[in-house]
Amino acid sequence: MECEGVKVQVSTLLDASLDVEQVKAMEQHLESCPSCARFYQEELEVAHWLTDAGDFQLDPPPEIWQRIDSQISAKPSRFGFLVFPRFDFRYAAAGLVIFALVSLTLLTLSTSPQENELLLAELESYELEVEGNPFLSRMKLTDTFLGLPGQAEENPFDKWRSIQ
Amino acid sequence: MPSSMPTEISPDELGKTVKGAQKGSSEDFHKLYSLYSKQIYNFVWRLVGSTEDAEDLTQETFLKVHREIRNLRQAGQFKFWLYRIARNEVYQKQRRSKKKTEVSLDDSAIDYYDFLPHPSPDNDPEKQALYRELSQIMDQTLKTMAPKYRDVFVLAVFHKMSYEDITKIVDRSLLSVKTDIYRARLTVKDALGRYMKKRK
Repeated sequence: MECEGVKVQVSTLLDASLDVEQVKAMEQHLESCPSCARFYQEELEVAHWLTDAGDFQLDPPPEIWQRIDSQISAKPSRFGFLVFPRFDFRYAAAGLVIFALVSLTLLTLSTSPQENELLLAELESYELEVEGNPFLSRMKLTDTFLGLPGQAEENPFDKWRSIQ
Repeated sequence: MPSSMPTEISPDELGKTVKGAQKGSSEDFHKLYSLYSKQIYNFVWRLVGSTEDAEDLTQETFLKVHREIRNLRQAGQFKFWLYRIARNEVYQKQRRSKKKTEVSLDDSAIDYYDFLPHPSPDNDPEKQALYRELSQIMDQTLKTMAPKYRDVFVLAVFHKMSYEDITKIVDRSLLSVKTDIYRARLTVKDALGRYMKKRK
């Protein structure tokens, strides 16, 4: 056994936290090592003094319980419902998770397959209506109606007049 | 507090009492207070060195226990949980007041060992004076000791707790607890040794 290890064990022994085998090993070392034996004697003296000191305990004054009791048995205020609970990160985290779940659910519901199909059908009918009609189709293609300079194409009304 | 309150309890009974307190029984909570208030009061008193602060901290500890006891999963761990709360309350108070115990050596707080009875059966005035001086040395040593040494030292030496139990309170390894107690003992021994040399 190393001397430094024995010194830690001496401290442990004084607090009665060594098992039988450890005590035996330490005793063997103390018998053969005067330095550790002296250390043990010194520690023992301090330990006796500390035991005397440690045996003394104060009694808590009865006022402590009175104060605790008055706080825990205090009747809740009539307006107690207005008092917010203490902020707790666990509650905040739980709230965030619930919020995320609700948002995700609403998002999924708002783009349900049925709604998607309806939207597609609406678009298709619009395309048919516009693309199927040459006049409307032309109107859609020309930028004249958008008022973009330099990109004006032939106005279908003018073309119709010139044919007449 | 009624004097009929118990000071010791079997593990089964403790489990029932803790569960009762978790369900809101004020009688069971009071029982827990009577069982552990003295231990907690003395524990915090050793850590802070002032009876006034110890009273406040004991009160805060049990109020917190009352608020949080429903969250305690294992009733058998109540004692360690309670000590842990008390220890946290001490550190929180010290952080709040930004007043480390190291700098309160000359404050008006009552010293730990001013209360101590003379340990020796004889009433030799010289021995009494020596003991009183040694007590003051011990008091100062504890106050100047690093908190991580002081906690485990107080629990092991003054509360006679096993090292295994201490690990549950301070949440450190057994090896760390052993080493810290050893170092704390060396500090105490050094302080007492220095004093004895000076005295000679």
